[in-house]
Amino acid sequence: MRSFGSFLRASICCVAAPVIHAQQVPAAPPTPTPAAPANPGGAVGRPGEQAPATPAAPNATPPKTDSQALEYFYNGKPKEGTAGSKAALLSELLGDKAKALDALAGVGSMIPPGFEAYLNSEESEALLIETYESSYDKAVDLVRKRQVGPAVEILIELSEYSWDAATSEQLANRVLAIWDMRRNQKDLTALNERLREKARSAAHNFDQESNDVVKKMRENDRRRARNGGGGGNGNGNGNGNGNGDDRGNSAFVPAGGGGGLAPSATPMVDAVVGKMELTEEYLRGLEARASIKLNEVQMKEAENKARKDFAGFIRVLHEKQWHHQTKLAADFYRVLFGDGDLPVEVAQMASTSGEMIQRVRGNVKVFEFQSGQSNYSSATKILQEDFASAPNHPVLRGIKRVEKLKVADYLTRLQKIQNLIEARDFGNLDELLQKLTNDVKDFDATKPRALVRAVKRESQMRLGMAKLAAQQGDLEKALAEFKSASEAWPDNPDLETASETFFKTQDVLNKSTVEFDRAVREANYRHIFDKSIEYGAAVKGDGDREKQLRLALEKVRDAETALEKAKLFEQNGDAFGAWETLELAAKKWPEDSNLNRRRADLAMQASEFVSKISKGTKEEASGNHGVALTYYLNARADYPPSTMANESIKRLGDRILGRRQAVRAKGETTENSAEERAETSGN
Amino acid sequence: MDEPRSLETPFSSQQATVRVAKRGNTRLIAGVGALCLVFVVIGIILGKSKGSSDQYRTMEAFPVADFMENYESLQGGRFKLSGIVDAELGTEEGTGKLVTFRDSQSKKVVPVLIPDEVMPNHSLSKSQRYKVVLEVGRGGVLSATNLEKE
Repeated sequence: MRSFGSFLRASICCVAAPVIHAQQVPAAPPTPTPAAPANPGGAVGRPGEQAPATPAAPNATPPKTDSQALEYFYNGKPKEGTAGSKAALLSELLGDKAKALDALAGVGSMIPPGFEAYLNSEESEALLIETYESSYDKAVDLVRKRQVGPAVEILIELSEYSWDAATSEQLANRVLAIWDMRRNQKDLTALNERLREKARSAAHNFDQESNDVVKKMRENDRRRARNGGGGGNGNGNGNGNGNGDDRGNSAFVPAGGGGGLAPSATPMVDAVVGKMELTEEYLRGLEARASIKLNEVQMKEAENKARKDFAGFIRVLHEKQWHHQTKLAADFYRVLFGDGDLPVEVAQMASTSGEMIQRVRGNVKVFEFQSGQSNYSSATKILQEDFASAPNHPVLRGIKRVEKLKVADYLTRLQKIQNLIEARDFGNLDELLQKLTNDVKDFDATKPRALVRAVKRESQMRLGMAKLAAQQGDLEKALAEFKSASEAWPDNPDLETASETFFKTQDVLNKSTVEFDRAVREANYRHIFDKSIEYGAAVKGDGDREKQLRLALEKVRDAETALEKAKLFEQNGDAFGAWETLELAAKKWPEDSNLNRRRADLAMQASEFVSKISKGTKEEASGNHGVALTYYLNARADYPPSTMANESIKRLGDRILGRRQAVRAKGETTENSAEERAETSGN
Repeated sequence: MDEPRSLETPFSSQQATVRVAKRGNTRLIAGVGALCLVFVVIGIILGKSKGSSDQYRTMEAFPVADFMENYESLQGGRFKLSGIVDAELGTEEGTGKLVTFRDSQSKKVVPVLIPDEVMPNHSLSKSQRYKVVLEVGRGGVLSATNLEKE
């Protein structure tokens, strides 16, 4: 899965790269400046080339003048979009890709591939492992006893085991290489001995030769003295240094440098020959000593190189976590180079490896115990740590595949739990946690469950906030809370119900609003009154509709109050009062059928009074104020408490008396002012 | 607009005629004539002493029902109304007083505007009986031209 995920990730990146590139190009469209038109055909500054993906761009031509540049800025550039908007688009695209990658990353296993392969591999035979371990211990013992040869033989044997990967053989080869180096060193030592002997022989010969030369020189001097002497200044160098006192120098320097003639030629030749031999011996001795020194340096260098290489090999073994071989190599180092103490770094590596070997040996037993107790959490932890620190330890190969598969299963379940938590799939998570708790005794589900509870609680709270906001008519906030609740717990069972209810409610509210508007248009206030609760919720927050609803309810309420009042009047035998009450209510709502029906019934009972009021109203409307006043006065005579009559009498009286301001202030007249003027002038 | 009809004396068509007695009965006739003259003088004096009520005697009573049904047929006419004061609806300086009278005949309540010049210093009391000469104005507004307590 991991490899597939990596492949997919790489594929997306490969696909995304050109897309991103293609989108980045139009994100930086050419900016034609007054300087740019100088190079319209160049690679830079050509909109058609730089923004091939932009539909508006292909027809864009490079601005060649200031006017064209302005033309581009005003017409071309807005079509291409701003860099900010394209950057936002690109960011959104990358965000989607990142989400996709993140989602796919969760599908992969969190188990390292090496460990997963190990868990699924078949176990090695316990006998082989025991044999390997005992052979190894034996090799260690042999090395400590300075028996390098048998130890190397055992290393060769150990390399035959599959899990050893021939690492022991490499160690053996290294040891043999040092062995060869040691053999060379012995040869060089023997050579040096011979050279030393040669040097000693040369020194001896030199001494002999020098005695002969001295003797011959003295004989020569005596002869020269006997022959007339004075040959002290007759040496060849002409410096007067040829006296017998300077034996050392004269012995080495031939005296035939152009001095005086020798009395006898034979002794002179003998003397010269002796000096040549002396020199040859001397040079031979020097050569031998130089060779010895050279060999000694060579041996030292070889020794140092061998030490360095072997220490480096030990480091590689340790880094590759071949702890058995590391420890054994350190022992070899101690024996082969015989210093007693190991270098600090090698000693530390040897110590660590030895510790790891012993720890893993012990941990495997603990693992088997924990696994037997179904404590796979602890067993997994032990096995993971051991495999991470000593993957090549042979005892790890001995663990049975069945046990290892249980560890793999446990890790897979953990991975699944992690994925479910990341995906907020808490419905399946509960079930999985319960199953894992049953199967794995030492699995602690406290934290996952706490996390689940917290997230569920958050989702429910968000849901509650969404409902509250919806009830308050704040649709924007409600939707935001719904989204948050969904993100926190996508599978929240209440979410679907709540959202359905919400949308149904919104649908109902919309329908109610439409019905309300129709009822208002039709002045069907009783329908609005009957559905006042429904409409109240629907128009909440809508100022105009709320006002319409309030007016409708007031109309119906007033009408109902009037009907009740009329009913009381009628019960008291006051038909005039009952009719007048409904008449006044009908003026506010003339279309109400209930009022009109009842008003018609009462008009029959109070016909005389009704007739006078009606005629008065009619005459007043016609501008016949005097007649109207007469009718109202007679109506009041019939029913003195009549509100309509009294108000009309007051109104018309004022009008006749010329109290127009007061009349107009009341706003109860229907007469036009022209008629009033005519009337006043007539009067 | 109809011109208001001029008020004519009801006696205009009934001029008194004095017949001259024959000489034969001159004295008798003279005596009787003198006696009659005395009666006439007495009658005139008595008639004058009885007040002005007699001057509206021939004036048409205000037809309230007709007025309410169709005031336009009465518009511009003068009528007498005999009734008691029902209520005072208001007074406006410069305009007058609006008073309602209950017609003695029809028992209807009739509003009458009494201008200041008609009743400059009078005050009306409820339930007092008055004889009102009124004129039907525009819009059916009844204006009193004369007012007399009965």
